[in-house]
Amino acid sequence: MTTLNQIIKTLKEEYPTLRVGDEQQGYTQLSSAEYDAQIAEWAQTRLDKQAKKAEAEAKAQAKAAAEAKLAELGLTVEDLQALGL
Amino acid sequence: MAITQVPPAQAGDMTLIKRAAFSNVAGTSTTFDNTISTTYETYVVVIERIFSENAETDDLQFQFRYAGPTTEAAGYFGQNFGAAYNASSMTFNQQSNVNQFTMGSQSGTAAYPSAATLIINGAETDQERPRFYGSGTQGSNHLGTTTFAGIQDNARTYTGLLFKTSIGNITGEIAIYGLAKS
Repeated sequence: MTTLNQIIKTLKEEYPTLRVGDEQQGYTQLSSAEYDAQIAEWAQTRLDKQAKKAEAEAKAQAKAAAEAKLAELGLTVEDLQALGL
Repeated sequence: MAITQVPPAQAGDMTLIKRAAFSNVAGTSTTFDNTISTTYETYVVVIERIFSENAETDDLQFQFRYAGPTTEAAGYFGQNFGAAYNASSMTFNQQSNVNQFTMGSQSGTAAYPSAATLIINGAETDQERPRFYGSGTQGSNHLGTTTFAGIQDNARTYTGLLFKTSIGNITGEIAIYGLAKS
């Protein structure tokens, strides 16, 4: 899995500068400290999302493996439910 | 039969407080500061068009702002749930004391942006906890609904709102209206 520092590096390449504001009031560039804080926040979010996705994929793989084992035994999920499992 | 003319709406029944367009920004920052005050108790936020400049799967989020100005980055409780246009079951997103409230999980793209309406009560006084609810359409590959509701558990005198996505820049137009008290 990608590390936090790797994600920060990628995001800084994607977003060399950041700005705030709107069409009416105009735009201003974030200061160095604000920029680093924003990139760090986004990086942590991306890392958390990756971990969540990996967890979901691991669960799906475990379920598929369990279903394959059942199939080898000639059983189905419905058979287990009928047994109250 | 006599035709009775419907009386015109009273001036100020629903007042535009601020409408702003923004392009490729890292959140709306101070744009919607000073939009909440004791003048109104109910706020209708119309997110006319919004999308992520990063990825369609970015979460669409908001935060309250209060005097300072400071962004309220804790104490959001609630849930959003929704379904893509071709889904037959809902996807739930529980939010317990999080740093921002997520209105939907698909911000969309320029070609398929999102839109939503957010209604807020109890934000203008520190005697109440703000509660908010709304719904919207999610753009891009989702092309479906999102419904959301929640509270901010820190009772403060809030003065504004901040909109953002979970990662990356956003573009859009948002209008905030206040509803007259009587």
